[in-house]
Amino acid sequence: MTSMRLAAPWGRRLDRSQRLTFRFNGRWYGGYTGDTLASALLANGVQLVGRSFKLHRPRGIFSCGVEEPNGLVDLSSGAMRTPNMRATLVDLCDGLIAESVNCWPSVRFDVGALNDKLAALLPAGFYYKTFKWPTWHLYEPAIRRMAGLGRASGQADPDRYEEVSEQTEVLVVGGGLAGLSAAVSAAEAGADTLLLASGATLGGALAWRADPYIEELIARARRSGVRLLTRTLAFGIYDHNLVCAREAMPGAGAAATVARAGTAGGVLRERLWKIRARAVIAAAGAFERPMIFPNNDRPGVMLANAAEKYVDAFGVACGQRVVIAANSDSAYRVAGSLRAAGLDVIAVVDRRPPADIGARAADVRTLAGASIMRVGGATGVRSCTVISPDTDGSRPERLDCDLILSAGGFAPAVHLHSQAGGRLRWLDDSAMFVPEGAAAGVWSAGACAGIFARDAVVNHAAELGLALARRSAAPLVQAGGAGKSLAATHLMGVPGKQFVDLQNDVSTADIGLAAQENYRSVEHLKRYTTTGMGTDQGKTSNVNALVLMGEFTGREPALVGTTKFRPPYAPVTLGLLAGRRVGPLYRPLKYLPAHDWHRAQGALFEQFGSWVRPAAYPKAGESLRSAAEREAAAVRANAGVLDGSPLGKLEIFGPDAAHFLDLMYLGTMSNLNPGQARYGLLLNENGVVVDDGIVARLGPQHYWVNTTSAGVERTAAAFEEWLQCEYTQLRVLITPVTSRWGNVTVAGPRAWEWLASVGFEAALAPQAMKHMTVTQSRWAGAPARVLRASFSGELGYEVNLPADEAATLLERLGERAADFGAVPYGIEALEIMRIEKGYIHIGTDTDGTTLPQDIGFARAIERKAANFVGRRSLLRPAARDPERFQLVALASKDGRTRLPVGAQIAAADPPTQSEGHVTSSCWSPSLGRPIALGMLARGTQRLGEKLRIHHLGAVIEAEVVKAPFVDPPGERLHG
Amino acid sequence: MDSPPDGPADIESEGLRVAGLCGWRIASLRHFDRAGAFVAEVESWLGAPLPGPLQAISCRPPGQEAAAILAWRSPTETMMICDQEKAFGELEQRLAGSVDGSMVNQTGGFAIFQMQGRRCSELLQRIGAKTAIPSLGEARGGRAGEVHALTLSIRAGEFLMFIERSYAAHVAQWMRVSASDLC
Repeated sequence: MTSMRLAAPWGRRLDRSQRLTFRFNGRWYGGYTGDTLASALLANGVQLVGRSFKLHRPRGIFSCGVEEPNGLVDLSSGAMRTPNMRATLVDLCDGLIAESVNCWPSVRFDVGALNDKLAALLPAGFYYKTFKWPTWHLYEPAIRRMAGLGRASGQADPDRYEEVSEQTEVLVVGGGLAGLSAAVSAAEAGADTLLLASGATLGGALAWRADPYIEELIARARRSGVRLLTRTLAFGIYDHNLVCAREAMPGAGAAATVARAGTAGGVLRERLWKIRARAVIAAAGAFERPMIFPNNDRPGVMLANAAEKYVDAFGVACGQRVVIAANSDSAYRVAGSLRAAGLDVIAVVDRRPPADIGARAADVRTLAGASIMRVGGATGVRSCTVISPDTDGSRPERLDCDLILSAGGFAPAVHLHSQAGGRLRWLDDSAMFVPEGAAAGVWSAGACAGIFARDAVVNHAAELGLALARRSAAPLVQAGGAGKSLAATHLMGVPGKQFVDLQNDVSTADIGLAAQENYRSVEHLKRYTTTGMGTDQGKTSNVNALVLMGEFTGREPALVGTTKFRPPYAPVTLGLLAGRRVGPLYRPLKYLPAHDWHRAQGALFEQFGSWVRPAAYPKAGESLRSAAEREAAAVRANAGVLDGSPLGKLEIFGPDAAHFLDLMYLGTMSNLNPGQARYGLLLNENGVVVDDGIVARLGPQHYWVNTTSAGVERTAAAFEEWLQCEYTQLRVLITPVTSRWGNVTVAGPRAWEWLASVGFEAALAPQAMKHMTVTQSRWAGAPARVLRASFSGELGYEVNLPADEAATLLERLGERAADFGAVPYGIEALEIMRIEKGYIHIGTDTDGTTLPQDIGFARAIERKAANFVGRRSLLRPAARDPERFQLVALASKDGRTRLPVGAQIAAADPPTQSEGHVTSSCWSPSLGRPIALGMLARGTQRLGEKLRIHHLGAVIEAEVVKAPFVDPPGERLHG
Repeated sequence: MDSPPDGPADIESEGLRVAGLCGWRIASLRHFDRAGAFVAEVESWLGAPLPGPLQAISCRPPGQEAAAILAWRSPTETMMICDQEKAFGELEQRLAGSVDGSMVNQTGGFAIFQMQGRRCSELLQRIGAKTAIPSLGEARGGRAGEVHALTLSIRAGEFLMFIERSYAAHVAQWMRVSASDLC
């Protein structure tokens, strides 16, 4: 393999004392520390690195940075495998393993290349037209298999990602000449300044040209206290100047991937910065625009600036005999640089008329008004054929070359400006879109503002930094310095595909077809042709595409406009977005104060809302269901204890507390005496039941509200909203205390005996303390709020103790459990018992349409004279519709089949019109048969009616029965 | 799911120490207005005015052995912690009959993380928003590890973070993994 490496001083980024080896497509190569994978491949003479997405055409490295459309590789293997990495951004390390994507069996011989032979059948949008008969789904699996580029590992990512919140006065995005000038100026004026540079070093394009001014700027930045973050790419700007950036951790990229391949454990790989900035200066530079000519996608065709950087920074000659296809004065600077490095620059083929060419390169042949009409070579460049006025047009000239550079002008990186809502304007002379003024909170500087003359860049950026630091008016932007460029660079009427978007194989013909089929809007163009999609998001193709669309539809580029710029600017990993929210930190979970006690009892934990709670306490060989049934039976027979700590608890205090709770709840709370408690339904303004609970009065202006476990946050928020926005005259204080109190619920006919055995005072005995009363007591020296209430239908005590004491009480009860035949019971047993009693569970039996009258509270509405939230809505005709779904009790006809939750009730088969559905269902250990609750149209009038319940194609015969199933008189509640 | 992440056990690393602050009594001092009798009674006990918006203070109530730390939480709420049960109980008794305010005992309802060292801010930036990091003498509400947190600073290089008890293990775990990656 030919070495294309240049001797020093070329290759300023390299440490030639550190030799590295790496494997690409199964073959080992050498490189140096400081190389990227792309530069190392080029240095080894590897031009063919991949295959294109659709046509599988051979492709080589095209650029030197984030805009790379071709050089995508999969890195490493196993769980470390990382797909679609741009070779231009992968720092080389010893042992790195990379493979080409989208080719089989090899990049050199790729079966998919057949697509190129069939290209005429595969124009833009062909799949919209072709795969219609008999159905798209017939073709979809095969198309999906063919689509995509790299392959993900399919295994869990072992690495870690973190998120850091930051704040700054002035944020500068870009570490080049403009960014550094602005940052230094802002910091020297006293502003807290943060600069983000996507590369490993500062200085941008000048860093490798031994520019002393850049060195001085970097030193000034450090002295003035600019906070510098390298390897950090700002990929999006969001509301209120929130800039998100990805920092690649040094040593955690490809190098760490290699070192850890096949091993367990991960490293901190990337860091997501969320930066709030008072002012953002976008100084992200510009992308070079490619020229469009036949077969402009051949390996060996690349951007001119990239070739220059490969020489300067990496000491790599991308070819020996160079032709530059030009539409910009920058071509001549590149020609000079390459010649200085010893490359043979054969000609600059300049598309522009002589009058537009503002620069010349000494000793380089210039063909003005000329174009490349043919490229020779299949997997590399061998020659090109040029037509120009000099060659009379009829006698094209063949130039032998192995590298064709594309210098088509520039496209400023206006992404941040546009994401922030900034407008763009088209500069006709230099054929580029530039920011029109500033976006909200975002100012552009340097090339991304359309300023290319060095002095102008430095002066404007420095003035901008100073102005933003001082909060004064920003200087006006005078875009210019790029010279003249033509908008269109393609050739009409010549054979060969002229590519606009290399990554998506979109050609000039595809753009023409889109125009012909009237996809004239640039947004339609993008979606129809896929131009601008993919990992590069059209950084090298967008301007050419819209210029072409303008040409095909007779419009100026300014009128065609651009597609919407959306974050992310460049691909980011899903790991970065997930950050720490993986594994046990995936979501915040709440744990019970006595979690360890439950675990010691053999609890089977499940998530109920955000709480981790015991579902049951299965014994050896028991299933969850049989454990729950055993526990429910034990509670009915003797006693059981449930950890009810998650029940929401709110302290309501103030002279207007009683009136406020009357407004909030369907029940009347103002006529409770201290020590009394009442069940209440909480409605929203639409009258829909959103929560329920028990309100207990502790004092004249002091209430204790128990909400559902899942509903306490929204109940507290609703209370605060009504207080702060509507009932502002009421003096009420709401204090959530859920975590302060543990709740130990003891239920069953022997509940009191059991409690008494562990030292509760006699005043709590059922004879002394009635159902739905509350007593403030003490137990073992700790304050206790004991509520006589029951969700099981049994004699029940809810003992609220300071959370730290809950485990102690559970331990004490556990020590005496055997004496009373008592057991701990979980949520599943509680569910059984409340279904047996016909008690509703908000969110299970109710939904976003359920009104109080639907669940048996019609009389409560009539009885309550005072106003309450939701009352007006309950008067609407729809609320009084007799066809409304109402809560009913259900039982299967055969007494054996359990009714599935969610099964639909319908008379017809198939069930075309639902009459309701099953909401709760269980096997009742008390009755020895399955029971259920459901919502049924006109349900309360249909007692005894036979129903057909449909589930997964089967029909279950059922009947509307009377509720509750157990203890209809409610005598067990009283002990 | 059977095991919660480890609780607020100590975290020690270079420039950072996080430990659970145990044994302190916690109260929400709820009041309708700062000119009322309730606030006057509290201030009389404290020997200092309640902290203003976003402020945090520490004091030694006159005649008490106790230390108290108070943090503004909202216009009607001041968070207070006190290291002596007796003094805390005395204040509770003094305020028991108040009609224009309420002292709500929150002891055990919150975990308090004491964070010390030069790298506290770095850790706080990794578990929540930088805007929620208080300056000296400040208390700020925000999020830590995705849940609500009140963080205050009454001594240079030290922060106290209040987290609802049931989430304490979750936040501690978030701190632990973040601290392990501070380097």
